[in-house]
Amino acid sequence: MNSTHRLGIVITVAALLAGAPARAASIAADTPGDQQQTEKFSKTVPLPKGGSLDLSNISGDIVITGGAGDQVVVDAVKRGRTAEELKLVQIEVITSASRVEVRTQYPRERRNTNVSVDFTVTVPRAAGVRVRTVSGDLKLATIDGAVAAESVSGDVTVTSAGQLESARTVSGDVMVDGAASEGDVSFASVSGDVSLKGVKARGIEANSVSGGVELADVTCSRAAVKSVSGDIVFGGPLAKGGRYSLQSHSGDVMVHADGRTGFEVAAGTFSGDISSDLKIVSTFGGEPPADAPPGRGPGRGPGRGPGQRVRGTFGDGGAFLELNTFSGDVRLVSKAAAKAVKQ
Amino acid sequence: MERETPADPACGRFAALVHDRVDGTLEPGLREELDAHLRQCPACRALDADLIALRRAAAELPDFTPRAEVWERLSQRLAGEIAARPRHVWTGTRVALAMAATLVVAVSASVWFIRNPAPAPQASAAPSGAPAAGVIQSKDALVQDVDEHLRIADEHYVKAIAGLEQVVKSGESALDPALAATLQKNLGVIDQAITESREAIKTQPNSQLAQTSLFEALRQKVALLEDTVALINVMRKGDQAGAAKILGGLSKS
Repeated sequence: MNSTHRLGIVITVAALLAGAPARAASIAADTPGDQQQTEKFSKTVPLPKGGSLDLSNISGDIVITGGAGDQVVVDAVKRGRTAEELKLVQIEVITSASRVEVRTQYPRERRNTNVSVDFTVTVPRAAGVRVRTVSGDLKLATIDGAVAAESVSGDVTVTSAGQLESARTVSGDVMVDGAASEGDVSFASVSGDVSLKGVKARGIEANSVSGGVELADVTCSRAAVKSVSGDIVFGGPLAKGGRYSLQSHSGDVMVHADGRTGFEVAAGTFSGDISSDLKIVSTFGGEPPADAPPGRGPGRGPGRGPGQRVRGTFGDGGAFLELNTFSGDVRLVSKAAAKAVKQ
Repeated sequence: MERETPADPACGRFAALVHDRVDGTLEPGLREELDAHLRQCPACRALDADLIALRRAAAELPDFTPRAEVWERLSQRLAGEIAARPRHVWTGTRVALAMAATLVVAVSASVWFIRNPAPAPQASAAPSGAPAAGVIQSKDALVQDVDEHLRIADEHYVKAIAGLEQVVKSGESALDPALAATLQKNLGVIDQAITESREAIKTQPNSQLAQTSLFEALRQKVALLEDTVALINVMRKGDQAGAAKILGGLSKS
């Protein structure tokens, strides 16, 4: 992430927490020549089986890793312009029978407290983790408990999560590699990309406004994926009876199909093209305008030019694909063809 | 406006029973009587078919309803602060959005119906000159209704968006400038989608793709604006936990 952007939010949020109106201030920590002060914090607390960690921060990166043992180990580094300023920001670790809560407290009476806190935390692998920050990157790995990770400004990266519930950010990317959920899991960014790989869940919801959304090797029976200006790519086995809705306004919509499960597809684009590597039996071939040129009438198959709606079936039609874009292309790509292109 | 005429003076009563059956509230004892009437009355039979088709269409529609949980959440959060702003703006925005969403659902059902009409009823046994009873609208009439409803739904969305934009404008300084710029940039991306959809509708007024695209973009703009408002208010309070909770709804469009 852009550090200037990050620290801008730090200042604002610190001022906000002080109950003062947001005011821009000099970014001392990032200005060349300025000295940066740091202060370390460390605490270890027990967390019984089935317990959870709840961490909320204002500014700074957070790394949480699941491991052996039954303790939560919190290591933090405060960064600021002066030692006095660092002392104003407190890290609280509150424990109860089955929960550890970690939070950063900024002074309410002081403006422009320009301090960020980076956390490195280890939790028992089975623990649940809920982490939120206003400005900072989040990285979580090898956690089998329920995980929800949310940032306002920062990237969210999740690796090997056993029960992922959500990963969200406003300004930043969401990247997930290896995650599972018995229920539905949601991913969102406003301005960044959403990239999911090896996610298994009952349902997946993924959204971005200006970023792309890519799902690779995902396994789910329901997917609802939207972007306004980004491309959408879906790859993974389709479930019989599954429903997959991919929708973009100006981006392309692409599905990598392995061809093992049949599907019914309803695809539409106003000004783009629809094409398919797979042999789709078309049951409905278009929505031609009244003044459409010859050859743009109903009954035509996929892959014959812009502005059309197509409904067709591949194989037994077991799954349902709803693929729409306004000005992008819709493409059904066979997995074999996609591999060949990659090589 | 063309209308089918009822075959029997009792059609008014049977039309009500048709509605009851489609709604699943028909008393079992009346089923046989209704079926007997439908066998000999083409107009009521057509009404029955139309209502069943509309109900199926409505069931298959995507979720166009406004996000109730967002309104609820925002209402709670704003309860203490909204008094400082013109209350009528917020209330009007909510009403406009609810009306727009309702209209879009109704219009979508109508569009589906027009594109997938029920088979034409057999010639009515009613005597010529019998009074019209408003059972079924003609296709042309439905098209006119759809156009009108789309126009009104569009107006309601525009009104809702204007209200939300006013609230955002008045409170945007609570956000970090870079974050505010990011949100504005993305609102601009959605605006572009709205503009393109409108242009497409101008050239192809009957394009369902263009209409769907327009209302989806309008809905997304409302969703991003309402989340921005929520974020502004939480930031004003300096509520860090609340700010993160708002993320639960952000960009869930």
